[in-house]
Amino acid sequence: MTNLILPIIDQKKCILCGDCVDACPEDVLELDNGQLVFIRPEACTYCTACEAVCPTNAVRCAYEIRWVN
Amino acid sequence: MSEKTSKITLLKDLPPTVIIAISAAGEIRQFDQDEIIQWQADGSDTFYLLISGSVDLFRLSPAGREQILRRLEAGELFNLAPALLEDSKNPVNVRALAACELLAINKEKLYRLMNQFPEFAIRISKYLAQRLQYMTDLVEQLSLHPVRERLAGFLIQQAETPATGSWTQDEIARRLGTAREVISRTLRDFTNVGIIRMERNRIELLDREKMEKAAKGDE
Repeated sequence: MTNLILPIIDQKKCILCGDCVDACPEDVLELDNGQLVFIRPEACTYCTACEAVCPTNAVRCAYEIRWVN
Repeated sequence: MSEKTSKITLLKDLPPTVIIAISAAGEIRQFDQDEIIQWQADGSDTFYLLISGSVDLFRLSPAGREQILRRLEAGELFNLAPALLEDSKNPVNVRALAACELLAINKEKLYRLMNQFPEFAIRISKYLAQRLQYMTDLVEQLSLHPVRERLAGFLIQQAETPATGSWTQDEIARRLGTAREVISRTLRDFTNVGIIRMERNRIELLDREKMEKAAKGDE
């Protein structure tokens, strides 16, 4: 849990539209007290649906790219 | 400042006197994450050495579509051409991906440094030749190769230069001149045929020979 890699949310960019909350197939996200928060982080599959629908690029699911030998 | 300046790739192994002179000629500028450092077509006579942070160089279509031309990490530089030309304008938009510290050197001081230190002038010439080669390759990629080949080539290039940081699917799309959905679909396809593995925040390339064939359209 402590090392779980999650999408990165930029709260300054987030306009609290809730699109990512609706898009998440695992119900991982929620709007709470004027902030977008992870309520079930362990269920996040990094499917990037939240990032894909975000109109302000406030959610970032980035990848390192590397060879596996 | 000279210590930081000496880490700029262009200036590597130049004599300390040259590094000190370049550092003294510049002015430190700092930018926050996501801040626009410059807009394309604004008048400019300054080039920048990226001391820390990372930036995207990009252009925008009239409809707002973005093409990322390059991602630069600490140690690289940008905006050399307008600093060498008369009445020049910024060739690209530049956005800070992370907080940045830049050393800004204007045209007049750049010319003076190049006159004073021929070894520095040669480095500048070599750098411009490399950029010309890079842009020629980019034009070929964008105009002659389908997205599948571009993406395979991009993944190989990034895997071999890990300093360029991490990329979202949207950023890859903007770098390769296509839509996010196309990148997403092509990554899924690469996964299905077993040449990459998507591991949460990692794209792992599994088969060099097949990746190189995909990049050449020779599958």
